[in-house]
Amino acid sequence: MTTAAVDQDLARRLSIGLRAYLSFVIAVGLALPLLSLLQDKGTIHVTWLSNTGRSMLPWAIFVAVAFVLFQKFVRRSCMSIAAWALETPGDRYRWVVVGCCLLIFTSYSWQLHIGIAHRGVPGWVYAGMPDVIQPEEPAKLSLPPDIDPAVFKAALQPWVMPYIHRSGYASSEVLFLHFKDGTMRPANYELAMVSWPKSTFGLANGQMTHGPEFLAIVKHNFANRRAGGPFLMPGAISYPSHLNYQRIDYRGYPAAEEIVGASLWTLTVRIDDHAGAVNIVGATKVAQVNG
Amino acid sequence: MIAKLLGPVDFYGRPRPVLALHCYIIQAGAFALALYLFLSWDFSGLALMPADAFVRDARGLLFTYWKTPGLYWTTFQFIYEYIPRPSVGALHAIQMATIVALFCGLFGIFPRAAAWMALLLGSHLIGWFLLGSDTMDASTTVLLFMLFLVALFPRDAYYKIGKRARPLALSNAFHGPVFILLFFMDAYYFYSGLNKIIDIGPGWFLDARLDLFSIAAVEQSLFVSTWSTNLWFSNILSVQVFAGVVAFLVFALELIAPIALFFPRLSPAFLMFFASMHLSIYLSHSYGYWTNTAADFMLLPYTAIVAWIGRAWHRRNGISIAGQPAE
Repeated sequence: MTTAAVDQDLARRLSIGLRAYLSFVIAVGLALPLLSLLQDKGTIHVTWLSNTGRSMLPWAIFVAVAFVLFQKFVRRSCMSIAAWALETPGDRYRWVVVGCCLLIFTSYSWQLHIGIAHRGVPGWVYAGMPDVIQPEEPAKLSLPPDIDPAVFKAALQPWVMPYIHRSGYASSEVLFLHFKDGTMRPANYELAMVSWPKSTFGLANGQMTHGPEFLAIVKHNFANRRAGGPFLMPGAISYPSHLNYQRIDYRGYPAAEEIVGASLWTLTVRIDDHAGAVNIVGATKVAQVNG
Repeated sequence: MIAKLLGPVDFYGRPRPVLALHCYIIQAGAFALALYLFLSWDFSGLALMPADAFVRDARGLLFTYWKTPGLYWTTFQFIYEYIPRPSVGALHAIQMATIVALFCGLFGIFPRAAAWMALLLGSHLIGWFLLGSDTMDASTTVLLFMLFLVALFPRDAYYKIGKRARPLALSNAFHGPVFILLFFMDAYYFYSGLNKIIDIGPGWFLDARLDLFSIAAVEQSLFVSTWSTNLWFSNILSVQVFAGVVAFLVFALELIAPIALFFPRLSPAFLMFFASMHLSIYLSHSYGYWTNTAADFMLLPYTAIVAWIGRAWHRRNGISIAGQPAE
């Protein structure tokens, strides 16, 4: 048997192995949404499987059908890849290229999210998004008599007004930090380090399940930001966090050790587009966490 | 039939010679970006989070089939089923070790070992962040993939201290990392487009209504508690027709990415579109996808650019040269 014949034979075997692997990936890629669908219908119960993957079924069917219909093309491509990988026996990097491509293909086909690859950004829309500014005044607006309205006003950014083109009422939840000197100052959930702090820290019915942990994290991150940046880079030029909250300059605030609690409020403002004015008209406490 | 259809896509064929410079750019870019991120974010606070924030089952919205995402295993989060969770100090030490490794890689000190170390330690920290935060921050995923790519570079593709740099060395071997990164970004964009069809439908661009988001983003900005946005950019994007055109372009180009990115003559234009898309996402949503933007820039055809500069220089000096390969 000549060297070329051995290579040809090896390439053929490698090509078969490659096709077998692709078939396996595509078969599992088809089985996963099918199982997910059955899970959703209650026919089966698999503990590790989510029922949200059923939406991928049409795509998985499309890929499987295309794989079967274009077998000739797949066979020829696998043969070319195998021949290329074996072309220079000393060049191991060709195996790295093939391996990486298979890893990417597998990861996306099975929606694995392995850290170095994920399932792609999900699709979402903003159609039906409610207006932030409502023409009607919300019912039962009130301000707490023991708190100066200026405290709440500090949580507003009036320089946004030139970009607002309608009048009415707008509401938003605002986090306040409480300090030993009796002051309360605005903050936001960026200090809590997570995208969904309410669920992470268990906020429901005015109570926070993990209040001490919440306050510990807020203090930890507040100390960094008060010092000028989230970590070693100055805040103004640091890599933007995925927690895309407004930037607050905490440098004028008391030290982190002075924090004694945090409270969450729903603030309502009245916006007068023509006058360019915004005023606090309501503040309702949602939750309180004490240190 | 497919071969005929993809006839002009010669990128799918045999690799072509690429300059070592292109690999140097990827190496420097990956280490520099990772350094930028790890110097900017403080991961140590994650040690203070409630333990049940890191449990195996993640939010269904983000992890399609698996209740436990793969990163739970690949970033070694599972070890805390057997050992206690680290303290703030321990996480800080891991982050500082990652930073040291990244500095080494950037300055060409044992770059392969530096890339592996930064990948292992950095992915562990990012795994904490993604699981604890219930998010799928795409910029960190792309960053980790770039470190993975650098860790697997062919031996001669690195610039190293103590080794004479040869940025103009031309080899087929240097094509591998470029191809893998292109294939990765290709899959990333295509699946983002596909997810829009799967989650919403083929009419995604009609329902996207980025204009409504932009108006809301501006109005919400009255409060310090809300997400951040660039006011003038959101003001422009609040025009419905403009927002619709942008949504259509994003949707269409993501879906044709598997073909478009592999047309050698067209890919720079597509890559610059995607880089602009990431910039506009930063301006409207404040998500800094700088790693994605940088990946697009890293894939520009540097071999062809250098060849073009060389030809222009030779023409100007009246020297005739043999044709250079185009990448």
